[in-house]
Amino acid sequence: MIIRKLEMFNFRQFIGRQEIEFSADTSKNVTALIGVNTSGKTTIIRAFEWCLYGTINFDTKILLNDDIRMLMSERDIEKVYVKIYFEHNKNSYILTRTQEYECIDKTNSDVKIKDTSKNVTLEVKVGDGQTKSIVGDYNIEKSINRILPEDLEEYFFFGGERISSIANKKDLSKAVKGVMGLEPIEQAMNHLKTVVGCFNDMIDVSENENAKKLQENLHSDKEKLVVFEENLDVKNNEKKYWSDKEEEYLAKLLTSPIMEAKQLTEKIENCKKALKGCKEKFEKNKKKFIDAFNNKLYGYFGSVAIKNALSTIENVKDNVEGIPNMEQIAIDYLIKRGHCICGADLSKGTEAYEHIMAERRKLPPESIGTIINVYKQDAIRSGVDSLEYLNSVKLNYDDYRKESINIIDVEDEIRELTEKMNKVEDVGVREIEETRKESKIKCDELDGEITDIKSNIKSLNDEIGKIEDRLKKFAQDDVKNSKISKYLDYTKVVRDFFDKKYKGKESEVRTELTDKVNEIFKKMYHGNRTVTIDENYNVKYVGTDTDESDGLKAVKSFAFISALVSLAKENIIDDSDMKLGQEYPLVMDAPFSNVDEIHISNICKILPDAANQVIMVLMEKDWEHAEKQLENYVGKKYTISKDTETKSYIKEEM
Amino acid sequence: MFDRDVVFYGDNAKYLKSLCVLAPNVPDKDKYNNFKIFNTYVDAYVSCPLLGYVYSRKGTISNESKNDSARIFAEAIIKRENELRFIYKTIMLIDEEYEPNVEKRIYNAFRAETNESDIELMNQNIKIFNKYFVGGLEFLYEKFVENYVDEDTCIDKIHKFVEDFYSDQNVEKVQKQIQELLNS
Repeated sequence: MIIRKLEMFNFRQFIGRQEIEFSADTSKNVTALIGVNTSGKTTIIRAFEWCLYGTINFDTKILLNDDIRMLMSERDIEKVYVKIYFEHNKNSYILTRTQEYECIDKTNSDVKIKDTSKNVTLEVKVGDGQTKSIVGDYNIEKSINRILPEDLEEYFFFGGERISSIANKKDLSKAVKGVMGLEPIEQAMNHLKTVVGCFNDMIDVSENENAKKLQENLHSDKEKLVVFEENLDVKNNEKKYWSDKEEEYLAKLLTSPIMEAKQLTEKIENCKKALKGCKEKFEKNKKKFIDAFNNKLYGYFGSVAIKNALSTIENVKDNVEGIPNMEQIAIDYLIKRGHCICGADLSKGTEAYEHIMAERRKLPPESIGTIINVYKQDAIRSGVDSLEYLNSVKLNYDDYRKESINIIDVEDEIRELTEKMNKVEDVGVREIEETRKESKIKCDELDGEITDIKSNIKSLNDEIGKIEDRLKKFAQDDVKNSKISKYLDYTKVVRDFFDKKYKGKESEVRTELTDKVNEIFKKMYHGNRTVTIDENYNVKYVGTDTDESDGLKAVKSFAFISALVSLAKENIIDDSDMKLGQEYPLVMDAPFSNVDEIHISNICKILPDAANQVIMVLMEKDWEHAEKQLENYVGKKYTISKDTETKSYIKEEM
Repeated sequence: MFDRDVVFYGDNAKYLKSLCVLAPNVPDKDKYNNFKIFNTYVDAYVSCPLLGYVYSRKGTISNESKNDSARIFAEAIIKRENELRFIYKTIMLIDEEYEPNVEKRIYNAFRAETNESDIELMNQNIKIFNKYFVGGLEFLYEKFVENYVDEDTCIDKIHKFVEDFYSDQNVEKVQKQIQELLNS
């Protein structure tokens, strides 16, 4: 997707028709939009969002420019529109969203309007020059979602405050899968699941009571599953609600005018962070202790046995020496021929036979000396220095203990600070703290409920799987159902194929993403860290777990987004040339608001490569730092100047 | 020897599962939620036989049953083959109760495996190895699982067990003796 132009008409503070042409030059792919606070920088991003998805992310919902509104008389109609000119997959598009307003009341102090008709059109000029128009909101919505899915929108159009939250979001897997094109495969697999269900329903069970029962159970289990899954959604939303509330109250406390409350809250939050670190270290130390215990455990506890073994060998060294230069093969030969060198009869059972067999046991392939040495070597290798073992176990135990005491200390401190919080004189503060505590309790309760539901879902799925297997077996054995049984077999094969492909692709994507994130992170971060990506696609630091500054959070998020966009750009192609990714532009609103100079500089180093188009909206002071790195990549530069509270103008700078 | 799956049943399996971290696909995994001192079955298989010998515990191998089983996979055993062989040799060399004759013990330890006609003998030898393994398992089970209170107490117990062993069994002296024997 390449964005060519944004055109706004009377949209918020952008009075009249104003347009921005974005740089699509491949070597100078950065467009910078510079303006002071409240000049309308964020409005430009919101214009994109409104045009693409119809969402109005402003606090006040009127889009019409205020000056224009104040000039309206009753029954006048004015319109607002935003047009986006863009290209995608060799086609050119013009997306226009229009909203009309009618004036319903005019007084000396105010003009009231209401929104009337609205309209969205999408014009497509296909590669060969033919124009066609897509009609119907739904179809346009579908087309837009195919080009830039709304779910992913916040990863490519992001604002300063959201940056720190992106790489800390709970479950980014959906976004990543969407960007990397894994969703179609996932949908195919889900569809096949329903197909299996249909076939199971088609099995003729009229003549078999057991099979009939199975089918009924299968239905009821599936219904139960739906209920559980809906329940899970509800609980997850509830949990998010309480979790957001808790954060809200926490934020209030952290910015409380009551100094004592602010300080106590800060201390408590720091302690909680420290506690988390301690608990992680505690688990690590526990594991290290067990590893130390296991390391050559048999060498330590078995030292007496080993000593006795060595002693045994030592004592009999001479007695078990076999006849020199004779091997078992020689004796086997003698036995085969039936008589000894001395002529004695060597048939089985004779005394001579017993003697020669006893002698045979002492002979090589190996000579006893070699064997004994091998054992001694083994003893040296696996025999541990017992004192070293003991000390290693002790050391790791001490570390474990130390950390468990740390945890108790920090927990005590939290308890003390919380009590102090409860005694703060200001009633308002106490109330906020009460509500915050309640929110946390609700969250924890919901966590428990969610875990239970998840485990119920798992058992149900297991049971459903078993019933489906038994039904399939029944269909297989029953002549009437042989066709259905075959269909089920085919479906299973196709499903397994998709499953394997999907898992393979997903792991490929995750590895590529991790590598890419680390590559970019190293370029951006002037420290010494690597990151890894867990199964929810959250970015985690490897190794030390120190505090995360806002600047670091921003860098982490940038690295993640850049890696995502970059990978999408690179189009991971598999052996059957299945192109998965898409090209996305990067549109950023005040990306550097929490980032220091050095990090800005580092982030700018990799930005031009991160996406085919980079559009940044930022303040003059942040631009100063960024400009140094980005000078050679800026294709177009605009200033947004604020004329009055209600009027802003966009001017291109040459 | 030490090149194929080994399966334990009944109580043997129960003890093994109580002491080892279980893979996610083990069906009754949730029954055993005490603190685990071994990360895998094969860790226990390597560590327990000598423990069994040192504490004179020759356990009973439970009969094959459908109820409860624990399988140690060949791949895991083959990875630890060298250690297992060493432990096997050690046990064969010193178990006088099983084989009073020292020459035969040496044969069992070093040579029996290479002789095709001694397959039955080897089976018996491995059985002894497994008996000590089961004995070691029982010993650890009694010590760390039977009166299980919580993780923390268990870890304390393990630490104490290691420390006490050093003085009770005079490990320092034994180490010196081992060094002398190795150098001779």
